Parts: sequence; C-alpha cells; structure tokens
Amino acid sequence: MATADSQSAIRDPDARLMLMVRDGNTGAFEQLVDKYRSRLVGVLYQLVGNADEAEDLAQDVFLRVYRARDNYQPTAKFSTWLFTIANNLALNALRSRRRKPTSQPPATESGGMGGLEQMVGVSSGAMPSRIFAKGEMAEIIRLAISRLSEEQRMAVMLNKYEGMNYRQIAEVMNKSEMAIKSLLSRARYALKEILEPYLANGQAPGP
Amino acid sequence: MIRTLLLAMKTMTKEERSTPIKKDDLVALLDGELSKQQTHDVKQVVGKDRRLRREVELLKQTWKLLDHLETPETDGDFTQNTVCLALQKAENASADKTEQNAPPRLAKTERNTAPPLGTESRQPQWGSLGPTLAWSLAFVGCFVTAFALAASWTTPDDRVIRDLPVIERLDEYRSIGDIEFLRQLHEKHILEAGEEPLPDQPREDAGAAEATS
Repeated sequence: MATADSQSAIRDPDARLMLMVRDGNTGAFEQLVDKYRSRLVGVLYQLVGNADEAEDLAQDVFLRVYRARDNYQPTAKFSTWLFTIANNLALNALRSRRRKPTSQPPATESGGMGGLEQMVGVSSGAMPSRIFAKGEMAEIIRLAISRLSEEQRMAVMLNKYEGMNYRQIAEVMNKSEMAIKSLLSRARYALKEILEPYLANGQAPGP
Repeated sequence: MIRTLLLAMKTMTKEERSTPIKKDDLVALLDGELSKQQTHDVKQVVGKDRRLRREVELLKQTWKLLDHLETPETDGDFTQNTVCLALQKAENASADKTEQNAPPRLAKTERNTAPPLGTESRQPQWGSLGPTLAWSLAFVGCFVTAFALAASWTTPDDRVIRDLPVIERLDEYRSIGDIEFLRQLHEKHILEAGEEPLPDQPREDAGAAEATS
C-alpha cells in the first residue's frame, strides 16, 4: 500500500518538483509557491476569515515546506501534504485566537454573523426572486460558509475547491474516512438549510 | 425487542421515518464516494421517492452556488518574498546549526572563563587570536619562500652580465682556437691584464696558478 502510494506520488508532478527542491533547486520551490499561493490563501481565508492573516499563514506554510525539504519523502500527493500543514497551522491560529479575549470571530470582518440576514433583508426584501449581483452572491456564499464549524469549512474547501476525495481529506485532517463522510454530509445539509431560501425566493432563512 | 423498535420509531422524526437511506449516503452518492452496489441501491430508492429527489436536487444546487465564492488575491510579490524569506531562514538555520555543532566542551569553557558581569578581561583570548596568529604565520612563511625563490632564481640577464668580459673578447679567444693553449696563455699572463677567467675555470685555480708562479 505504501509502495503504491509512493508510486502514485512520484507520478504527481508537484511531488517531483518537491524532490527537486530537496536536491537544492530553488526554482522548483518558486514554481510550487506560485502554483499553490492563491489556492492556499483561498482555503486559509475561509478558515480564519481575514485576508492578511490568511496570507501570513500561507507564507508560514511554504516556509515550513522549505524547512522540511531535506526529509521530504513522496509518500502522498504534494497537495495533501501541503494542506495538512495548512490545516494544522490554521487550527493552531484559531486556537490561539480563541485564547485572546479581544479577538474577533472571522465572520465579523464584513458584517458579522448576522450579515447574511442583514444583506438579504435589505437587498431582497422588495425583490424576492431577483438575481443577485456577482459580488453580492459571493458575499452571501462566504457568510454561509462562515456559519459552518471550522472542521466543516476545511472539509468543504478541500472537497469543493481542491477536488480531494474523502480519503485525501481524511489524511489532511487526520480523521477516518467515515468521519469525513459524516462531516461533509452535515456541512452540505447545513449549507442547504442556509442557502435554500435564496434558491427558492431570495428571502432570508428563518431563525 | 418489538417494544424497542416501536420506541425507536416514536423518537424518529417524520422525515427520518420516510427516509430509508442515510443522509451521509445521499451526499456520498453526489460525491461519487459509494461503491457500485451502494450507488445502485441508493439511486433506486431516490428514484422512487419524489421528496428525496428534491432533496438531492437542492443539495446539488446549493453546492453549485459555492462556485460564486471569491478568494482574496495574493500580492504580486508574494512568491518572491516567500522564496527570499525561505532562503534567508535556511541560511540562518544553517549558521545556527554550525554554532550548535561546535564542541560542547569549548562552549562550556567559554562560559566558565567568561569574566564576571561588569568587568572586562584584558587577557588575550586564544580562541579569538588563533585564526589571526595562523594567518600571520602563513603570511610570513609565504614571504620567506618568495624571497628564497627570488634569490635562487637566475635570469638570462644575470648570466649575460656574468659572462660579459668573455663575450667582449670572444672573437679573440676564438682566433686562438685551442682551449688548453688559451689556459696556458692565461697562466703566463700573456693575455691582457683585467681579463676574466674562462667560464669553466674556477677562480681558485687561477689563484693557485698565481701563487705558484
């Protein structure tokens, strides 16, 4: 199994780039950073809810990747390894944030936890079935995701935007496949509950 | 047993009673995570239930809505900054490692010989003087070697200067023809005064000849 994983990892072009980084090729590292920076910042932003913090965390992830280059073994896809580091760092950041009494929850950056209702109450009260502007819809989705738990958010981001299957997500989040199946199910039903009113008539969901 | 089942049925919601499949399986079906058999079974159940079909449709639509999510743009310099920072950190770590790899006894010695706070040691620290001393010795060594080489080195000009008196009278010597006859002439001072001995004749011989004459 481990051999099969290693074989598939070696077929992964990013794992091959990482092997070049291990051999001292700085250009390969630059390619990896360039390829993953937006994706990583995107996932981390949904977790921590702050663009600057997400960028700092992403940089920290890459620094850790570079620091670990000497001991790198392509036992899994490079992206799985990268997002495992990202997940651990993000969870640590959220934990330390919770310990600080003055810190703000992620969703407050643009409107707070009540932003979804406010937005829809103002914008769609008179036009129940109107089509949302692109930016407005993006904000509604962002707020809907922010209502999920941290673990649900991570699982959704990896599944939806990174195209990872349950096994890969389980590896990243250090959980069983069954746990991920349950986590994603709850997340998708929660999103359905939150967003169903928009799909139906553009109205805010009930309390 | 029957009582337990009835109790369980009572505690189930209306929705759960009418749903013969788990929500996890419904989502897993959409994610393509079920086996062939499971997929077939779940699809059969969904196909027969209008409410489940709608549920699946809503799950699909809300999932599709997530395509509208926007992510923050990273700074254009992000890559360059990150690579530079990584290299810098690696360099610092390497320097730290070198320091850590120094013999522990030396570090301990340094701590033990450190002067008390507020005092300044005037004694030379051999640890710091060592490299300077080594460089100084190497420099002196190089200088001496270079001087010795220069002293022993004979340039073509030196040879010409040394042989100049012979060269000046070379035609005269050649006209004599025989080197032995030439030596005899030299020994009997027949040649002009101020002449130099022949190149292959040591000066001692000339001196000895003078002494015997």
